[in-house]
Amino acid sequence: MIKRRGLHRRTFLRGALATGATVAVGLPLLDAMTNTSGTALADGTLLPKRFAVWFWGNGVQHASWHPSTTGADWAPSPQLALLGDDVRPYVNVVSGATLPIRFWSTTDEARRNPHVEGVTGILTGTNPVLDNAFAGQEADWDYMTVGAESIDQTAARILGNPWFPSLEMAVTELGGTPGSAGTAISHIAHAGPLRPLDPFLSPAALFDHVFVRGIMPPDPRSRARASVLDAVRDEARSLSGRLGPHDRIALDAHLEGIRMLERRLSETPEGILLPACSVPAAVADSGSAQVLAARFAELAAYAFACDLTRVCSIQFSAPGSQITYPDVVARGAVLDTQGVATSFHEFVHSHGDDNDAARAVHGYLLENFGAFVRALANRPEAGGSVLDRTVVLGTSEIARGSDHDTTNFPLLLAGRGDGALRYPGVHVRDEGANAARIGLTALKALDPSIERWGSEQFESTEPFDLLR
Amino acid sequence: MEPGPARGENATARPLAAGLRTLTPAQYDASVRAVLELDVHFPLPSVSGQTSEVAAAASGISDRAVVGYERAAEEIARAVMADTEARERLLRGCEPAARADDACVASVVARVGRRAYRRELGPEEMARWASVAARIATELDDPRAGLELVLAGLLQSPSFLYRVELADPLHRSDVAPSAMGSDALATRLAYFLWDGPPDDALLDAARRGDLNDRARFDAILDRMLADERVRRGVRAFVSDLFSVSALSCQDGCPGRLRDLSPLAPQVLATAVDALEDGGFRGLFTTRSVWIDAATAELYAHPDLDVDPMAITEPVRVTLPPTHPRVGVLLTPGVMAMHANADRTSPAGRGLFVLTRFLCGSVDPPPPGVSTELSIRDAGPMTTRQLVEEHVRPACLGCHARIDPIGLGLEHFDAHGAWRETDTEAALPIDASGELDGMAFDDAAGLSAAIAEHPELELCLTSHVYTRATGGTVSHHAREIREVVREAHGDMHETMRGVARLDAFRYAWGDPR
Repeated sequence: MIKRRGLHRRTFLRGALATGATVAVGLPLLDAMTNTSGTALADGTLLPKRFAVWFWGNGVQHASWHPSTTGADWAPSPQLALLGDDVRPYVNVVSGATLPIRFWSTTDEARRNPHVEGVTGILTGTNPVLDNAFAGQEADWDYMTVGAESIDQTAARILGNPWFPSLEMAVTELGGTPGSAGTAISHIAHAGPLRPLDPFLSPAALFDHVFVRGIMPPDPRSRARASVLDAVRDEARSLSGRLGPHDRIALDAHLEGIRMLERRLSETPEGILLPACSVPAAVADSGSAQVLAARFAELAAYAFACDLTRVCSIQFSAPGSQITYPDVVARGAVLDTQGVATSFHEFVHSHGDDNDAARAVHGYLLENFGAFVRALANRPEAGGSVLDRTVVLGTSEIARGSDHDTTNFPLLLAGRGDGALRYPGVHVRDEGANAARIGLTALKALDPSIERWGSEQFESTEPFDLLR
Repeated sequence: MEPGPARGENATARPLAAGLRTLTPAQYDASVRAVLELDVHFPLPSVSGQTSEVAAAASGISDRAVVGYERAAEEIARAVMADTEARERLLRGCEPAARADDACVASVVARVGRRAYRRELGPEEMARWASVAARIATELDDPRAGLELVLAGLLQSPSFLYRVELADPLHRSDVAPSAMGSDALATRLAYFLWDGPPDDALLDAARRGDLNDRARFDAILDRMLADERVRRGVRAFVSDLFSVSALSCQDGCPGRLRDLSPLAPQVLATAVDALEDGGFRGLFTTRSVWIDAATAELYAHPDLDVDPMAITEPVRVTLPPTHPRVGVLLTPGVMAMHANADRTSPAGRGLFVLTRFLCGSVDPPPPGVSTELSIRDAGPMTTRQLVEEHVRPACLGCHARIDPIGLGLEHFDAHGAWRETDTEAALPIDASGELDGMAFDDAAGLSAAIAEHPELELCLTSHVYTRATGGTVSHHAREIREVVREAHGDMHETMRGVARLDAFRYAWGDPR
């Protein structure tokens, strides 16, 4: 676990640079940078909202997942009880909805992979697209990309953040066939079609990115580096005029990335850092998936509390994940066949999910989701916690791993969204509803003026009844 | 090709072929070394490598990549200026001064910039960098620092980080693919043949217009194909062909790839020599393989006179005829890459061979069908028995083609190691089968059948073409067949044939 430490005037922030040199930065800085002047902050009204996606692969165990009662006093099912009594009041549950995935080819119904169609549908509100360049290649779904940006990136545009627009993390390995060209199954976050956002696989690297380099005070050298970036942007702008529209979009995104870095190199985050900001202790990379997930959760909570970012996505396990869940096996679950360790994906296909091992894995996933929500609840802010202003979407790409069903889709919306979400959380049963409405619901919790999300059969204009 | 499958109104994926292709990590490294005349390697701080290099090249530069490029450029420039020898080579006797019209800065920027951008810098670009250098020199009171950070700037310019393959502005058309300018063509040629930037001689030739003269272009191809840098181009090709590029992620490969990545160098070394020596068929027939510390034990064999424990450096050995690991397909890295974490994957391996090397097209399984082998605790069964029991009659249309290939590879377990038997019960493995009418007894026989397959040369030539141009072969099938006829599966001749195609000169960037 990460030890918290307060920041005092004499605290030094240390971080090992890639060169091996250790920098020590005097930190009256952070005090000075922290925005303590606005009295309005005391009542929390100016504090930002945040958004997080917490994703796991291969669905849930239906029989023990769905609460038996609806409304605010929803009776925790055996699985949802594992969220923890402290977290549960912050969690809204939707059941009964169906993710209306469809064959990506209308001419050939055989071409289908619900892991790809599901993750693309629930997180981008689009159908996956196959790049023409890849048509007819090995396992087509490995060559597919999303139809539009993912919901976290939409949230990042709504919420805005001048320092880090979003942070992407993955606890376990990415999905799909290694070395293939598609992005729909390998990445949960996309800035657009064929523009996957690579997640941090290492908490230590994320820590360095955000809490060492990300807030290093400018010096003459870093200002000079920023002025070099300014010249690079000039060059890019003159190239832009020669490009077609698609190349130009890609180059514009590159330009925006340069602009953000230029700012981080030349300015202090003064006026950005919030009073509750403190820097977590450096983290190491060793540990089980559960430990890594906890470190990522802490870093996300600290980054939110500092307002260094307002959007995170965490992939605990990938769509169709082939991992074997060693943490769960270590607890005694038997996830093997004839003595051979078996990936959970394969296990539920061959053994179904009505067994102790499947329950153990699904329960473990919920515990980890609960731990993420708890990490936000444990970060104090303005008399409450960071969770009070966060919306966390917890979901998977399918409803049930044994047969790839997408009915009764797992949908969780946690946090209070600055009062936008119901509290205590409710269980809404909406039989046959379009599960992609959860995307609209989440975005509306961030900005009530949002009126629709998703396209084609995913298009949603009506949020679930989770908003206040 | 028909316009792709129906996919709805929001289908906005751009074609892979684009006017800007991001340098791959290998190309970045080669380019930095060429631009700054360095012998040391500068691995790019990469993000999680998951996609193929061809695809990664088309996917733009994310915020995180911007950070990585900036850091790398700054560190490289700093290292160059701090090293006396490297600095002297760069400065060639001059010393920068803090003035916007400093001749030393101008000469270095012009010379290094031309290599970095693969074209002459325009007056506006020259003036921009001169003024940046002067300003930084003044602010830091250090003229060398001004030049140093300008070098870092050149290495971050879109003109460096992307291969800019745009139509010649004077001759572009909005309705048809247009010819690229000479500089862009030199760039495409160099990254195709050398997986690195054009050298000064090639840039000079481009400037003289030699690339537009057939005879002089052919002479340039002769020179480039005779240059040892062509091995890098061959290496990049086999790296994607065998999906080994996925194993080169530096920031720690995710999960299983991390365990497999030590196996990659042996695959690459063996594949490059097999292709150079024996052409496309050689990839499947060579008995001359590299063995290194990571793979020595996996190659141990009674008839192989090599002590696995004694191998510390890679050595090239000739396998005895009795050795089962003929060719590149049967290397431990390739076999392990194409398996599940815990068990072999006959369908996955069969699909890989059929689609990657023979360009066969196979439909994914229909809806509602589990592709996982259902393993019941009803006594031990071989993977072949499981597959045969699992695959339903309706699935045989495809599985009858892909399964025999994968089952032919059953002697190699999920970690790429040879096994005599299957399961803990030591059931015998039947690896015999048939590939499009050619019967085989085992993996070596399967490899031989792939080598003799009539589709092999056309398929691999198509991959060469895609790597060269970023485009697909569909519009140029006839010309590609011509290349196949003349090259006879020889890699260098295939590269030459593709480079001589008219299509090689097209810019693919979408019209404005």
